Amino acid sequence: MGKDKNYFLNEKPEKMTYGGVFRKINDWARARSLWVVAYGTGCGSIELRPTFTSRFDAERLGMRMVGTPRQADVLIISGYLTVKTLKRVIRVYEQMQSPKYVVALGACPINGGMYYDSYNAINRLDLYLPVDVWITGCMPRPEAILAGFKRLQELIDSGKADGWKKYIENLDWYRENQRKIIKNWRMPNYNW
Amino acid sequence: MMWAKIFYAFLALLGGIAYGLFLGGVSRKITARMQNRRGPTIWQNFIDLWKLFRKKTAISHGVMFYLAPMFRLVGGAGTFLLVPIVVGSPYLSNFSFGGDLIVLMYFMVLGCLGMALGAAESGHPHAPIGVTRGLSQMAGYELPFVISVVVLMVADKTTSIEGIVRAQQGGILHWHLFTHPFAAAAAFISLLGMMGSYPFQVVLAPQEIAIGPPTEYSSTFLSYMFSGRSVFAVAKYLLFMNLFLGGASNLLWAFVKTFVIFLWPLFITNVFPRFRLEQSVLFFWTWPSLLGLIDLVRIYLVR
Amino acid sequence: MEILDKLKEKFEILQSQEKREDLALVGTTEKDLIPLLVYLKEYEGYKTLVMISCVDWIEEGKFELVYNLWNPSKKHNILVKTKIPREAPKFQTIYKIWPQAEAYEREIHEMFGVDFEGNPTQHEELILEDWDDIPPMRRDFDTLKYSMEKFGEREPKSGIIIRKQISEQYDEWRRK
Repeated sequence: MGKDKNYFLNEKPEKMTYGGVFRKINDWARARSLWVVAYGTGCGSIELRPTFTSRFDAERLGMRMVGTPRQADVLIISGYLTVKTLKRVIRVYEQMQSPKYVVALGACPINGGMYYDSYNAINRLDLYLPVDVWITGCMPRPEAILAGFKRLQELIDSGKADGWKKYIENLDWYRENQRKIIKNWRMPNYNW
Repeated sequence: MMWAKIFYAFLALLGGIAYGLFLGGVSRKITARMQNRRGPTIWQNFIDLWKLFRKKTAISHGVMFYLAPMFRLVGGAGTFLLVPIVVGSPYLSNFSFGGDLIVLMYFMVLGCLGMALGAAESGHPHAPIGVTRGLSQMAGYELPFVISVVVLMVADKTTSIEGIVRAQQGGILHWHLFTHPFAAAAAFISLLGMMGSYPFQVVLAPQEIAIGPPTEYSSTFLSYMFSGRSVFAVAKYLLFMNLFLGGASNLLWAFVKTFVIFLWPLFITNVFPRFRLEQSVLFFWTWPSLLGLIDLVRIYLVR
Repeated sequence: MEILDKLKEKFEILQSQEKREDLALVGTTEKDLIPLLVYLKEYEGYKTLVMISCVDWIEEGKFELVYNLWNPSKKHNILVKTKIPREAPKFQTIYKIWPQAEAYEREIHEMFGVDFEGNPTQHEELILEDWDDIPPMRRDFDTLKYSMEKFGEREPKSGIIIRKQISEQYDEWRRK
C-alpha cells in the first residue's frame, strides 16, 4: 500500500454496537432518508431511472441518488452480477458508511436467473454480501421496486435490517467466499 | 450586556440553521411540484441532517480533512452573525458594527477556502477539480457583487450594514432596489452564482464530476457541511434584504423578505440548463459587471 | 458477380457464394487470406473492417476465422473465411492493415485461445479477469459444470429459505 495508507484502513473494523438513547429516532430518520448510490450492475439499473424521476418519484419516500458511496445508505444490486463487477461491488459496499443496506433486484442475484449456467455470472449474491431485501422479477417494474423499498423502510423502522452488522461479525466467512471466486485479490483487506 | 448579546446571537444562529433547512425543504417541494411530482415533505432536510449526524464514520484522511467541515460551518455561521436581522433591535442585530460590510466580504470566502484545503486532502480526483472550479467561479461572481456594494457604500457614505439600512428608510421607493436598480440587478445576478444553483452549478456539477469537493465526506462531516451551507444561504438572503430591500423592522418582515429573495434563485434554477465554467465566468465579467458599472458612473456624475 | 470472378482469377478460392444482393462470402486458404484482404482493401474499395469473428468446428478439428469487410461506395459486404487447425491455433495479426483489428483479435484470443502473432496487446485481459480455465467460447468447455463448481448450486438443496441457510452456514463455519 505504502503511499495509499491514508486512504485505507488496514485493521479489521471493530464490531459496531447498535443502540443508544436515540435509537428509535435514529431508526425513524434512517428509514425516511435513504440515499442510494448511483451505481448499476446489470440490466435492472434501467428500471431505476423511472423510479427516481417524475413518473414514479421515489423522492416522496425521502430517497435520492448520490454519486459517491461515502454518503450513501443503500446499495442496489440491479440484476446479474459478474465476477468482474462483484469486485467493484465489494469495494463500493465497503466504502459505504454504516449503517448500510443492500437491496437485490431481480432473479439473478437470488439463484442466477436466466444466467444460472453462465461462466461469469454469480449464482447467489448472499454468499458474498449480506442482503436485506430481495425484489423478485425479471426485471421488477418500478412499482415492485417501490414496494421493496417500503419493505426496507419497515425493516429499518423495526430495527431488523441488520445485514451490515452480520457482515462485520462474519467478515471472515464472507472473505473466504469472495476469495474463492476472485482469484487475484488486488484490493486492501479492510478498506472501510 | 455582552453575555446577553452572545446568548441572543446564539439563539438567532440556531434559528438561522433551522430556517435554512426549512427553506431547503421548501425548495425541494417547489422543484418537485414544477416537475409534476409530489416530492418529499418540507421537513425532509431535518430528517436528512439527523440521519447524517447519527451515521457512523470510519474514514481518516488527516487533520485538514476533519477541520474543513468546521471551517464550512464557521464560515456560514460567522457570516450569519455579522448580518443584523432586525436593525436597531437589541436582540436581533447580532454582532454588526461600523465597517462590517468589508469584513463580511472577506468572511464569505472563508468557508470556501476551508473546503478547498479539506477537499484537497481527501485525495479523490474529483475534489480538487471541483475546488478549482469553485474558486474560479468565485472570481467571476465577486466582481459584480463588489461593484454593486461599492456603489451602495459611495452613495450612502458608510461601510456598515446598519448605515445602509438606515439610508433606505422612509418608504418603499427609498429601497436601493429602486434607487440603484442597475447595481441591484448586478448583485442579484451574482447571488445566483453565490448560491451555486443551476445555471451556475459548476462546483457540484452532477453530470461531470458527480459530487465534486465533498466526494469523500460522509456522515457527521457532511451534516456539519450541510448545516453550514443552510445557514450561509440564510445569511446571504439577510444580507441582500438589508442591502437592497430596506432591512426589516420586525421578525415577520425579515421572514417575508428573505423568502421572496429565496424564490428568485429557485425559479431561475428550475428552468435553466447549466453553463460550463468558462461561460459562467465570462458571463459574470460582462453583463452584470457592466450593469454595476453603469450605476457607479451614474453616482459620480450625479455628485 | 464480378468481384467473385476477379478473386477467383487471382487467388485460390475454396468456396464462394452470393448470399444476398449486398453480401457475398468467400472461403480461402490460410496462406492466401492476408493478400486477399490487402487486395480487397487497396484495389476494390473494401475499406472498412466491420468485425472479426471465430467459429469452432470441433468435429473437423478446425477454427474458422471470419473477416467481415464493407465497401462504403458500393454498399457491399464481403465475408472472407479461412480455417486454421484447432490444436495450438495460430494466425497472423492484421492490425497493421486495420488498427481496430487489435481489439477483435484480443477478444478472440481471450474467448477461443487463438494466438495472433504480432498483436502487442492480445495477452491483456479484456472482459474476463483472472480466468483460470480453457477459453470459455470453445465448444468443449462445459459452462454449466464450471458454473456449478465455481458459483455453487442453483437451488438450495433442501428447499428451505436461502436466508435461513446462510445463518446456518455461519454457525457451521464458526464451529470449525
